[in-house]
Parts: sequence; structure tokens; C-alpha cells
Amino acid sequence: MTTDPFTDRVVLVKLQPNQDVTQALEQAARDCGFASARILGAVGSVVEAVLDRDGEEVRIAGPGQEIAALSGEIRPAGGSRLSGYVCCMDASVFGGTFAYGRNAVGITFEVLMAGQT
Amino acid sequence: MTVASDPATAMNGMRLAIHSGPTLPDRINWQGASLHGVVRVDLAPGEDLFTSLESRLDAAGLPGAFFNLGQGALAELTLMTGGPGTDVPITFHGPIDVETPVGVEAGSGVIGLDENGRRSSHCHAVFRRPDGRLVGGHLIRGKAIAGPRGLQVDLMMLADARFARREDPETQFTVFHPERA
Repeated sequence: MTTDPFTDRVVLVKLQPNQDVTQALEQAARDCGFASARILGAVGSVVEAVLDRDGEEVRIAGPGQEIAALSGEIRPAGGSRLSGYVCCMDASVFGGTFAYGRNAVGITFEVLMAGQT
Repeated sequence: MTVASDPATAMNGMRLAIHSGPTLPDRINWQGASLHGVVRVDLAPGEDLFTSLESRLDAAGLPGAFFNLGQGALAELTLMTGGPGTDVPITFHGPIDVETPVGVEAGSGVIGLDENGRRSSHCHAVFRRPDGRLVGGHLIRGKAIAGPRGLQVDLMMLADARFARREDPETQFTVFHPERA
């Protein structure tokens, strides 16, 4: 069994709908008193995914996409860039970085977050 | 249609879903936890992902876990996906039987309890078909079976907290909520 000192303080987070996933996780990190944090695992959905492709927003027609393997560093002060996969109704997949402030939680988001104070 | 897409009802251009229940005051729920440890689990060929991981967690006597999929392939896979509903803005669609084998691209999941106190898991994952195309969605118990070379999973076991399902009055879906165990 291995442990990572960075994971010594972890929190389980649930996000309610209609808030941007990235910004809500930044708020969660602030609520937990973290100076920095990262995602260890996440499962959730968005209303309609918008990815950031080199500064250009790419909207993937929804509603109701499943998000897989969300990852990245959460900066409580803002400006986090989280990446992952968008799974559409026909099971097709898009991957990339989620556009900041553009991806509203659909039904729920469950996250295991590790942080440092 | 109960999905806001026009500027008057979308927030800063972000498309929203108008759920049937009241908007709850607490938008972010969190529970501090202690990580018991992280173990790499090697599923044997033919093992069901959820059943196998849940049994290992039960054997350890621990309340909950997250997991990330590692190297391996599936010999059987059926997915559910999300999409528009008729009575609700978003609902499940499927099932979609995926031609196998497919290799694991990425995925993560939660192991907690259902509303009756039984083990329950929730996992979204992406797989690569032999031709390179990706396929992904919501995994189903008994329909995510390790391939002939097995499947590696990193299991992050929690010592004192878990996710447990109960109805969310806002969406009226039974979903995981964090709680101390």
C-alpha cells in the first residue's frame, strides 16, 4: 500500500446543478481552506460541454453529457484549467480542457479532492 | 424543453438546466475524509468491475472509495449515456452494447452505498476501439467485464467517509451525497 503525502487531507465534494464545474471546485477549495488542491477522482455530468481549444470555445451540443476522468490542479484564487472527456448521448467522446465558466453541472458532480492548506 | 439556451435564461452564455425541484441553498456539499490508502487492484479476466472492487472494499471493512481505471481492456461493455428527457431536462439513454474488446483510455468512479445501505458504484469511463475511435459513458453493474489480460484499477479507499445515495429534491434523481461514516 502506498500513500501520497499530498493526499493526507482529502474531501468528498458534491456539486449541485447549474454552476460552472471549475469555478464551483475553486469555491469548494476555498471553503475547505486549501491553498492549492487537485482532483483525485470525479464523476458527473454537464448541461452542455464547452471546451477550450487554444483559446477558441468549442460547444458540444447537449444537453446532458457525462464527464469522465476530470483532472487538474484547482487554484482557489481562480483561473484553474481542468481537463477530461465529454461523453455524448451516442457514446461518442470529445476530450480537452473545459472552458472556464462555461460548463454548468447537469445533474450532479462527485469529486474526491486533495488539498494543502 | 426545460433547458435554458437563450441569453435571458442562460447565465453568462452558459447553458443551464431547469430542474423540477426547488433550487437548494447549499450549492456545494463537502465532507472531510481520511484516506486509508491507495492500492492497485488487478482484476482477473472475466471479473465484473463493480462487484470486484466492492468486494475488496468490503473485505477491508471500509466505508467508501474512489477509483481510477488503469491499463487493461474489457471483454464486455454496455454503456448508458446522458441526453435530453421529456419530463426532465436531462435523463439516461441507452443501453448501448459496445463491440469488444475495447482498451481503457481513462475513467474514474465512486463506491458508496445506495439508499438501502447496499453497495453502490458510479463510474464514467472512456475506451478505445481497435480502430482508434473513442467510446464512453456511464458503466453498468455486470456489464463491464475485464478482458483476457485483466484490468488494473487504482483504488483510493476512505477510512471514515463515503458517498451515500439519497434523493436530491432539486433534480429528483437519487444521487450520491457525502457523509461521515
